[in-house]
Amino acid sequence: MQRYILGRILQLVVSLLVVVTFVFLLSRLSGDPVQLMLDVRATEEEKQALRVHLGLDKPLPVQYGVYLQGMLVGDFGRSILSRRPVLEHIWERLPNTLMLGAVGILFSIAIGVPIGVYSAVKRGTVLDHVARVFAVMGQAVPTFWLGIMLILIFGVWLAWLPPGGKSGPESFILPAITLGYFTAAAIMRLTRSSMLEVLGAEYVKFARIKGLHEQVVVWKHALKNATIPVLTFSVMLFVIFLGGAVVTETVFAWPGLGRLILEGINTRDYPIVQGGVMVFSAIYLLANLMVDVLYSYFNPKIRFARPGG
Amino acid sequence: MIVHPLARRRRFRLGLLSVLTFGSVLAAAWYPIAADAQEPKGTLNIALATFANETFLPDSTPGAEMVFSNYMFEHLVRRDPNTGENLPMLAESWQAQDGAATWVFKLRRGVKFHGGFGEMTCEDIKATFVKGARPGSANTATFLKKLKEVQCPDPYTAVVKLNSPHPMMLNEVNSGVFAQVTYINSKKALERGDDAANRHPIGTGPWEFVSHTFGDRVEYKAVRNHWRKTPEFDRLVLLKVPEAATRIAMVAAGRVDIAEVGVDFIKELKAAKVETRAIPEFASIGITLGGMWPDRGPGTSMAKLPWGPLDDERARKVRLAFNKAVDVQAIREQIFGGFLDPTAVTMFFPGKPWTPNLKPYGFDVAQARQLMKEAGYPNCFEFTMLMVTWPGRGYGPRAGEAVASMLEKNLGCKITREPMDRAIFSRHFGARTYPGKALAYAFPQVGTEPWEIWIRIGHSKGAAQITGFEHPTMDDFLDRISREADPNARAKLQKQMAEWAYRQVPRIELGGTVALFGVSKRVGKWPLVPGQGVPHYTEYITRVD
Amino acid sequence: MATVEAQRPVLVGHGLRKAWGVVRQLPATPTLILSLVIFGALFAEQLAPHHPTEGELRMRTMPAAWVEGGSATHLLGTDDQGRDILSRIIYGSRISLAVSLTAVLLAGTLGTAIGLIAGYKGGLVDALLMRLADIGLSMPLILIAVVVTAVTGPSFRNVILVIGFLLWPRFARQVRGETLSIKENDYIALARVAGRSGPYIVWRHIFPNVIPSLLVVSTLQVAYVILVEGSLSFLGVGVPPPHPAWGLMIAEGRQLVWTAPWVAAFPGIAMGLTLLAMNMFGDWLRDKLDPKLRQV
Repeated sequence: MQRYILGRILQLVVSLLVVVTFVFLLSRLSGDPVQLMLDVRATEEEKQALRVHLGLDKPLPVQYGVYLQGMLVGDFGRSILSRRPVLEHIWERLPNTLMLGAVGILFSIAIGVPIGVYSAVKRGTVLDHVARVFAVMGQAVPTFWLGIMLILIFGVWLAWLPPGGKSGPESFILPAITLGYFTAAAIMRLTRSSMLEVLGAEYVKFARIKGLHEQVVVWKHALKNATIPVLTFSVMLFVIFLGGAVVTETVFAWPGLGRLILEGINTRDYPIVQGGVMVFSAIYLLANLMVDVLYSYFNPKIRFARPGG
Repeated sequence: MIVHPLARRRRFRLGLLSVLTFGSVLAAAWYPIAADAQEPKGTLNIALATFANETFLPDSTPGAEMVFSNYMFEHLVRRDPNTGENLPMLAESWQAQDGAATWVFKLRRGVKFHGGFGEMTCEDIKATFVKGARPGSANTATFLKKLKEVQCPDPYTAVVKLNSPHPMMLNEVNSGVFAQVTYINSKKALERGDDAANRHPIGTGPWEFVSHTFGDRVEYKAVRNHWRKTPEFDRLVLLKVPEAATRIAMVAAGRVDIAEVGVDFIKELKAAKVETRAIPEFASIGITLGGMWPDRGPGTSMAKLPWGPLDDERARKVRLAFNKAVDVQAIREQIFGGFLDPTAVTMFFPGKPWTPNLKPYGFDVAQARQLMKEAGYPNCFEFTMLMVTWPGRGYGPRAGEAVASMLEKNLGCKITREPMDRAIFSRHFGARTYPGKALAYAFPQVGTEPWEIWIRIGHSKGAAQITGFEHPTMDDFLDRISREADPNARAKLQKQMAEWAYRQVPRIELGGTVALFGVSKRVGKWPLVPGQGVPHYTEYITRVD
Repeated sequence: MATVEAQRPVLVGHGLRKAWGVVRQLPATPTLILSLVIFGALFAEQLAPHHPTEGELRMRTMPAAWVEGGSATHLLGTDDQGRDILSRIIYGSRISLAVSLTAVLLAGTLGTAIGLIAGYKGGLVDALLMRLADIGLSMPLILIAVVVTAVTGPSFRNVILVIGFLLWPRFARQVRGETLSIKENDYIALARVAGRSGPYIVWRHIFPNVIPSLLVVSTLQVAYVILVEGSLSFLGVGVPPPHPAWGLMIAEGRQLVWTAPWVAAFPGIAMGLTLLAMNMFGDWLRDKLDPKLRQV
């Protein structure tokens, strides 16, 4: 187990290195950063001075080394636009992304688990069918489209909820639903199938024989054992949420990390893009690691399916 | 209520003529100081499409930053919303000397900077201008490029010495002209270093800086007993909301009080039943037929460019054909909801002393095809059109797409669309890295007369050569006009320049348009200066409870 | 995340009768929808009532035919530029399919080759290649795709290349797992004894047996790529305008929610139905070809 986790951490470091290198090369290949940082009328001397200042006059491998060193100690440089340290911008935005992710997870669990349980218990009924349609739809509806439709209905026509931006608690509702629908559907499917498995198990049958109330059987005994995969899955949800953050944050003008990166791209603010992608990927990779560790903890078979694992 | 630009134009013209009144102007402030008996309360929320470069420093602001910073700063002069006349602001009076190469400003006494940074004096003017003029500065005010020195004979007198005459000086130290970021900073505040000065900017305006979350919001609070006007609202919150539809929804539901909206959303605003306020003569929209740079050598294959060079008769036919193949009327009605003044030449609005009596070329597909045949392009040709988005104003790409599809349909051209953010494109301005490409772009009004934008975009040594041609005749016109101190002579020269440009047809002209704001029920009276495209004079907004 | 390896019978050549048997068993709804999409993509010129990019500006934002103010000439109404929405959706299916099929083909070829090599060779090669796949799998795909396409400029080619290169590990993982189990079969050992070369064995004995699960993975990945391409186009870094990509149409329609909500709604419905059908079809295929194959 320990060896496995250690190996996975090593892999995470390599993955990060790949991302970092990749972003470094991309930003260097796409034009002279000095051109972007200075006014168009800047003289050649001014440009050269800035190049020397930023170390851009050195050969690419040296630049890469300096860049890596900076990344290691959390120095992502300064934003071209704001001239403030990139890390500061990231700290400003990261909580918003994480908070939205957390609310989204809560939403999808709050919706997905009860529907999944009911659907399993009332298997084959109309409710079960409705729930399954809901689940299948969740796979198919593009999140950005769902977001726009929700804005149209609740932000524009009914004007009940803010159509965008982060203000009070009510501003979380629409983006969280948008983020959470896809995963709520997935949770529902997972809950349903694990519940079906557990409900058929011996100890549940035994509990029933003992004469326990059906509600108690379902909610206490059966659900308890169905939670493990659901919990593990929640961390995976977080990974999925992060993956969709750029899109959802753009739709809802949400001041999160995804939008920061996208705006950095639009304005060619490469330090922001580099730092943002780096932090974003690190969290993404960490969450991924957690999923794998949880999985292998609860289901040791998996470890051995991996090469050399 | 929508104020049509034409309704305001007449009064405005009178003002323009008197803009260059030399000597002291001691007109009474338009809004009397004694009016703030009321205690400020509530919050005024403004939704903006962009914060531009998001910096408060005088040397890192090309101009559009006014949209998020002008609330807390003041300039030397301001403009009367009704007449366009220059009024005292931080300067009580001014005088041009040495044929307008030296400007003397008498400063108001007792104006206090926010946060205990002391009284505003000549040293602050000096520090601001010197910083804005430093080499590599992004400030686009042209007088800063000619700045020799700023002298302070006494704390309340600033003598600005320039290397050459600059008759339009007052337009560039003015709060009522778009993209003029020569607002006065505190010397002491600037001495804290760029980082501190940018994190907690200090000004003298009616709103004091509270906080700034990059890319998201800026908060200000009302300055009690401000020397000029204490706002009726206690707080001012600016929100960055990139989507126009979202901004409209926010103002319709009263979640914000003012929303910056492109004029191409006029139908959406009406559908949402949002009250609007318009600033006339804000921008000129069209498709520049670019990349005709004579000095760029064989690499740009000038000879192969179908619409260039400028003096070529064949190329002129192509340019004319392009204009005649576009149904401007349909674009005006469908995309701009009627808010598009027909102009024959960029920024030459009808009814001005400098506007010649010329008609737009008119829509005539048969004639356009004939011209293309004569020019040797019966089936048109392939080219790229850059679709430049001004944040929050979709009309560039929208009008560009309409024009492109009309050219494809009516002449058989094959056009590759290349969407581009304005922030990126602005870097191509001077670098001129778009040879042979057409350019869907809106030029903003940056002065009071058309040559002021033309000298930036059309002069071969201009800050942002975007017209796509560099022509000695144009340079000559602009050089002469910029030195001319007499407004009448300047109007005459501009008229000649416009006539010359009209014959050359350098672009597909669509027209001039307004800057538009959607406002909530809480916004009462709000004086707006024509041509100033960012929300301004928010301190004069009356609160409706 | 994990693959459950399974023994599977060798796929024997199909007869015509067998093929018909398969067709008869096809799930009705997804097959119908997918046929429509494919048919539309193939015969867009014949089917679409109007030109996809040339609009009539004076007929801008007309509602659907059944709504007041609509007209039968524009069944689903017109968009911001007066272009026929139905025609754009039909041409858009071509973009969605072309991009997703090419990207999946690219990723599939690359991933299958790597998976076969890793699974057959084993040892260090396997470990290295699979670590590489793990790294690829753990990347935030949409974010990386956004960054790459934004820097290289929006175009069909860039979108396909980026998605294709980011997706290969999903195929490699699957194929490697299968290869590992097939390798254990007696007939592979026999072939080795008979002196067959490694590439020959992989090509003739292993690859054909991987095809069924490859089909399943491909179907599901096509749906995924349609979604990713839609997201990229929506964010303005995918297929450039005026091409009628569904994601781009939704992004353009988003501006018009006040006056013409249908401009964003219809392409979204088209995209949703396609994804739904794709997923259902993939599920069906999975159950059909290999009921044991669960996590892909």
